[in-house]
Amino acid sequence: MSAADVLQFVLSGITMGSVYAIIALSFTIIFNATGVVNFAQGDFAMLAGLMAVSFIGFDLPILVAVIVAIAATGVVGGAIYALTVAPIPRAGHFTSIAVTLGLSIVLQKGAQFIWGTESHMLAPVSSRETLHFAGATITPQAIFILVTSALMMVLLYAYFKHTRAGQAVLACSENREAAGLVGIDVRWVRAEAYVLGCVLGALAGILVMPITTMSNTSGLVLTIKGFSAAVLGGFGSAAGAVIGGLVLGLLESLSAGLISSSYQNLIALLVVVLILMFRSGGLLGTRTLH
Amino acid sequence: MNELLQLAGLTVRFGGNLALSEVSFAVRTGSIAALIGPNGAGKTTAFNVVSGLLTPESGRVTFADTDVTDLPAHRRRGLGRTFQITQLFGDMTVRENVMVGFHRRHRGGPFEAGAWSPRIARQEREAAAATETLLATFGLGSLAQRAAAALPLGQQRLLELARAVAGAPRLLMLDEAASGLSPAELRELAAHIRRLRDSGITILLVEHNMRFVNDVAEHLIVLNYGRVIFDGPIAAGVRDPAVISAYLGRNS
Amino acid sequence: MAPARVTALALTAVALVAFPLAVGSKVWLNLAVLSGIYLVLTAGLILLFGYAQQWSFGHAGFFGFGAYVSALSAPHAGVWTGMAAGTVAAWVLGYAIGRPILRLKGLSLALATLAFGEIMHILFTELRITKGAIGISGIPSPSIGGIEIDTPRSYYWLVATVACAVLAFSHNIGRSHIGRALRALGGNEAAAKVVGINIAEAKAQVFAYSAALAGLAGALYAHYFTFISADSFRSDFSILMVVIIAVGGKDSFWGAALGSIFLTVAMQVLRVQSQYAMLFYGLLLIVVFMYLPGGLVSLVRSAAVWRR
Repeated sequence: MSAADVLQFVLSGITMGSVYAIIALSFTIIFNATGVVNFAQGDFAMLAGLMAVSFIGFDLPILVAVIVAIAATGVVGGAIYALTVAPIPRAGHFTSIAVTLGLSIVLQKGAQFIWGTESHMLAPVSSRETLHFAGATITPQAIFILVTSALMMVLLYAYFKHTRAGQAVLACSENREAAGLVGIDVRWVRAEAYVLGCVLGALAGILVMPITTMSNTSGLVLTIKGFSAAVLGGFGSAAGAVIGGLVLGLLESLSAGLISSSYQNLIALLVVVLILMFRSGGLLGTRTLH
Repeated sequence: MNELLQLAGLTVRFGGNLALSEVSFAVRTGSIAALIGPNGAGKTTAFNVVSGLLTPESGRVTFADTDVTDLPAHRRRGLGRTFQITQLFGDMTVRENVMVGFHRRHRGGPFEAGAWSPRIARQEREAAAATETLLATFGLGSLAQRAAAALPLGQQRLLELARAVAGAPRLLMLDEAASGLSPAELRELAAHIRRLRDSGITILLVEHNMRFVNDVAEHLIVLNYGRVIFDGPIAAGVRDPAVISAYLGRNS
Repeated sequence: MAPARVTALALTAVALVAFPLAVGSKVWLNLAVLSGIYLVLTAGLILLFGYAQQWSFGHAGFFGFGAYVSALSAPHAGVWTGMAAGTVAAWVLGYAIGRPILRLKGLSLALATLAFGEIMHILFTELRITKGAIGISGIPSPSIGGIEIDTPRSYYWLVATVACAVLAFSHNIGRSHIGRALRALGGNEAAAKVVGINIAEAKAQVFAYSAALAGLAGALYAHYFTFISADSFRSDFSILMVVIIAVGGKDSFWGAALGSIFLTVAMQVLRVQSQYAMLFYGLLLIVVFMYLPGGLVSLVRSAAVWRR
């Protein structure tokens, strides 16, 4: 295997890895602020992607379609928050998993009514086929994903560190009661965090759709991968989510290249299970899930 | 054997914190011993090591002349214990909590149980009968069907004690069983403890209530900052200067 | 046994026997068979989820494993042997997986079991022996004394017998010292250890038992529908299992029965194709967990309390 091959794998690995990182981050934000592990996260990505396809079909320009799709997913997320999360603030883990799994099924089957079961395709960012770079090829879409992801991380960092809304979310994540005492309206903040998480998930869906296409059932795989990435890096840690996502992407890409692409998911899953078993704090060993 | 329980050189560290440092003491068979010390002195930690819930960094635990240090908790037959915060099976009834206490007596795996073999049926009958007796002894008979979590504190303590006794222990370890009890409940507890000792069970108490300790125990071991600072008869212990200064020096 | 319980059991027995005689419709008999298969499956999950408080979101993996083992071995060794093989193989796999995986708790466990289910699905899809999406067809039907059990009515008798046996067996486990041990470890692990319960072993055993029942259910499924493919054994189905026990009441065997029957009947009453059904299950899961966490059985229990 040549250096160019390795570079190829690394590039495709961190491309997909960035998408997983975004989903993992959305998990983390939602979990930290609301205590809910959202097993429907991947389905929000799916929803956004398929909605964008429809809006483009209504002759909206691509950029507008995408933005509207992401916003619409955020709105759906808000509604779901109001219906299923807000009413039971102290839901146990089992309840939140069960409810969000139910949600996932509802979203999947709802999507099936509207868009059927076929795979849909979103046009990539540029029609130019591939670029060449140190012997490896990379598509404009991949570059777009990497750039957008990086930009998103920066924006999120700025949001949490420098805006009042963002700091309120952080405060709630650290200590709900103290945040309430300091005058932060915890319910709004939780809702904001949830919607933010959905929007991030939606973005991930839009980014990845041109590469992998999407059907109504694509959500579950993204959920598992995003969750795995978050757990890999140490659930509850934002840095862990990012690192976990990248590592997972690299792992997949390497196993696809070295072993077989049909088994790449399996290997990634296996590695996740092994890491769960032997390093319950995740790769960064920061936090455990309980 | 003379000494039912021996701790030798136990050291336990939590992160940078030295919870137990070279702790050694022994409990004579058939006696009632009390392990006391200010908060954080390491008493519950010592209990956790002896019952197998915590692995020491170094040191040995010998029970009935057998080194049990490396045995997992469920294999340490003959040891019964209660917890500082009662660890009942809250969703199970009072009766069921005591019946679980008899677990070690039961033989037979899931397949035999599923088939409800004669042996299983007999064991259930015997456990049920023994449970009724034990409930009556501890005055819990009328509460048998209630959920354990619904009991008031005094009776939760007795229930936990009954569960521990069900296991036919040779050594019974009680972690602050007296705390939060009314004077009447304390007298009842002391009576139970003496009765259990008279039936041949060795008792080791962790306690804060010095009056209770003085009333019930014969032998005193005092811990401070994870070290043994006194080990001897109770009469001498309550007058020992090192013990007194340990308690005065810290608010306990 | 309490008189109420004896009456309930007697009524159930009568209903079970009368049902196929009174009902001629193949559709309803078909649903009854399906209910029975789900019941075999969920009986084990009651002990796992309801008693021991251990989660698994990947049991479709065991269901499929049992189905494939039986389907592949039946042509060589006979259907009954195949079913037995499927059950035992699933038990072994369950124990092998359960021992390590149940060291995890809570969300880690949920994720690990979800991953396990997905891994099994990938194996079902990719391995040559299971023929992936094309599936295995022409799976033989069982027969007794030369009579083939290949109609809904005859299969109903088979499934009803197996389901009753499984329920009785599982219920016995539940009311024995083993059942108490499971509930103890589900309630308070430290106290359970101190009382003498080997936590790791007990968890692995109950996991293996539930896996075995899932495998048995899978085998029954395979020999009824005579066709299986990887698509039948996806995470969807693992989630459906959770729905069934949530709806019925996760710590009660009556609940498992209620849940299984309720779901299959609901599917028919709504006269649905499977996509509507899954939508319904999803909504049900949400509603039940939000408003009726004890499941249907808790409604029955409160009604019983009222009447006293």
